[in-house]
Amino acid sequence: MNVEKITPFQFGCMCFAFMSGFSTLYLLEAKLIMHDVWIAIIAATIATLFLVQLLVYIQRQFADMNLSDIIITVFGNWVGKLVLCLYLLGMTGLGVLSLRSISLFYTTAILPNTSPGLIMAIVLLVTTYAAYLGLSSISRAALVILPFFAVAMLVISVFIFDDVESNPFMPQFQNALPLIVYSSMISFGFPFGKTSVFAFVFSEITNQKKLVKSCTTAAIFSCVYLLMSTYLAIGCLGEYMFKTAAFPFFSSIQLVKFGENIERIEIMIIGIWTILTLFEIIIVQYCFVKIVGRIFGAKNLSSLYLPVGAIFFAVSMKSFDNPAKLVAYDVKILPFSIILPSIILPLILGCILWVKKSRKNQMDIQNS
Amino acid sequence: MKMIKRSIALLLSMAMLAGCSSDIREISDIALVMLTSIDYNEKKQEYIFTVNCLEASTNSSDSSERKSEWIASASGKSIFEAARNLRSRAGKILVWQHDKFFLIGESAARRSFYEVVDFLTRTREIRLSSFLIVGEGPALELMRMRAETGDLVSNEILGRIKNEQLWGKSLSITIKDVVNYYTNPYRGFVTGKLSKSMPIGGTREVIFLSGGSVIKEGKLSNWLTKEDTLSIHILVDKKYWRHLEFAEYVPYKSLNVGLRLHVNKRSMKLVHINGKQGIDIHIGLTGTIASLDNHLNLADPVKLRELENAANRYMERKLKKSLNRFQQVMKTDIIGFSDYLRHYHPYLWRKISAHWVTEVYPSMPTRVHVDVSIPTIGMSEVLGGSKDD
Repeated sequence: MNVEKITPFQFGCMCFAFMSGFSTLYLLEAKLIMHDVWIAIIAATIATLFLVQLLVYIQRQFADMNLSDIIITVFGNWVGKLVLCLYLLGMTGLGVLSLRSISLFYTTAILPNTSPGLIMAIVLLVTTYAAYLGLSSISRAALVILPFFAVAMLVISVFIFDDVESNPFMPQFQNALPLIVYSSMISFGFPFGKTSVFAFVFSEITNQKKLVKSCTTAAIFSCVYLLMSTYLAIGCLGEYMFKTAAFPFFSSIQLVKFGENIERIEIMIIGIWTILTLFEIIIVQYCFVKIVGRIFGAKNLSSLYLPVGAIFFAVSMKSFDNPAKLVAYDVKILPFSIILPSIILPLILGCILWVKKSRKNQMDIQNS
Repeated sequence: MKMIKRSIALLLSMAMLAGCSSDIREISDIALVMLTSIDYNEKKQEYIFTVNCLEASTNSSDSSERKSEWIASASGKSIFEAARNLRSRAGKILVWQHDKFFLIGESAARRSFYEVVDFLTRTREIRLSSFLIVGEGPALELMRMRAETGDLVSNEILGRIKNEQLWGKSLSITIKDVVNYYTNPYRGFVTGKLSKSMPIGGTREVIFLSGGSVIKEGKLSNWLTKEDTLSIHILVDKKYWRHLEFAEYVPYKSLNVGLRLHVNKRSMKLVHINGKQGIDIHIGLTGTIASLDNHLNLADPVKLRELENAANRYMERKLKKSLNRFQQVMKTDIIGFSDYLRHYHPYLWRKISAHWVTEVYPSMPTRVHVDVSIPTIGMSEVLGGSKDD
């Protein structure tokens, strides 16, 4: 399949859409440490920025090679494929998490009588087709939707801010360090740890020199969006209502009304929110197909999109069939399971490449 | 390849399935619930659920004709069961998305708010911006009273809630705030009180939204007088006082001055009062002269300053009296001192939080400073013009 390359700006927008999809849906780290949540979010962002540097360093060693190819080149054929399988496992988790979250949100807040399976099937049809269209189409769609998202969120935020009574991030530093670290891990697990997924499309960017800038900007904007949403949700709802609400930011958006009678504008936000969540699933599916193609050495990937969509659907139908399991996965499993694909493997890869590069440099010096 | 494309096209047509969702409701099939009340029957140990509904659509060609209200009650062991039992009498699907008021009967409020609050927040259709009001006596009876103006009862109550900002002696709060305060173990809160009474010159009893109901430890504990409710309006969060405009009749020398007052500032700080840690509250008020019962030369800045000082003292006394009642009689932190201490003095709060409700709050010294400024005196200076005093 002909791979159309995208610009760093398009890539940055896509990264933001990917990271911010439904990052504000549960705000679980905030429910855990409340006023100190800003520390956790900023710590997770800083970790993400380091991760970006590491992933870009790896990519620069093999210009124009995809991360799957790099992994196989560095680790060898079988170990490399095993590592790629680990990434596939992680991506399945992320995709299923997004699908189940979107269906849970819809069946809880909007369509209580509609089957979650139907919602997930409809979502997967859209995402499968979008992934099939390729990165260029996905990034163009992200460019179209992000201005609407930015304007809608800014307007909503101004209106919610009006209801914020006191600084919701006070009092500060009231939680124990281990709890703050754990919250940072939750925040890294979701949404920031997903950064390792878009490393698989680094090779499809036109100007590789601007990779760090694009990713860093996207991560910082995602951090700002998450901080802003958390601040507004706690400030508007109040501490106890925030802990009570299943979807705190959505509950605070529900309170916004223009004038006396224009309310229920949350439905527009839900639309935009849903589209951003679709981007998450689309990119995960796109990268998943690329990795599967690499593992099996398939040259034509277009025939893989539909089966991959079917796999996601089948796994989603069997996973997280109630909200408690979904939240438990987010809080108890994801913060730890994300460490292997997002921290340990890139670190090993980076170390091997650094050692190889150092040896090569030494040999070059000796030869010269 | 063609096969795949065709399959995708076929599957995409499944997106049309969205139209087959069982969540679709035709407008002609629904009735909008405008007001809901919840009572509790102690003898039968049942909740009584009452709704005031409007049909969403009408077949009448005259759309301007006022639609009739339909009021119906049903009972059940739980609120949800009572609400569902109501469906046996309803010819339409009841929709709560437009319901702005939930009236809790005195019996239900005195029993426990927990199930009521939990039901209201858990139910998807109910908006957190709806108001929760406690009725004096059975809410069912209040629901069945006709509106004084002949309008829909729900419209009339909505108007009265809007008018709370213009007199301050009633304070209705939203479900969102009820949940936030209710689950806070260190404080109580005040919400609206709906009662019935014979109006001056009236021939039948009508409903009044006046005073407040104090919720403490999860249930209704006291009714609040109009004066104390006004104090609450001034002393609690900014969202309650920023649009507040209220009337005071301030004694000044031998005459009384009617003032229209606005709150423009409220701050709290922790201070030492008589060797104990206490709360100092500073209130800034802006006033306009509304009436005088005798001659006073308001063009004289000295007189105006004296009047401002008299208003300061008057308001300080009034607010302090209410505060003493909240602390020493009701023993309920309805202002939210605990929230202030928890947010801004966390280390002190850790020491005192265990005994806050029983010992610390009731005996905590408080001080109120009021600063009234009167920048406008109205359209006239003094009746008949100023003369030498």
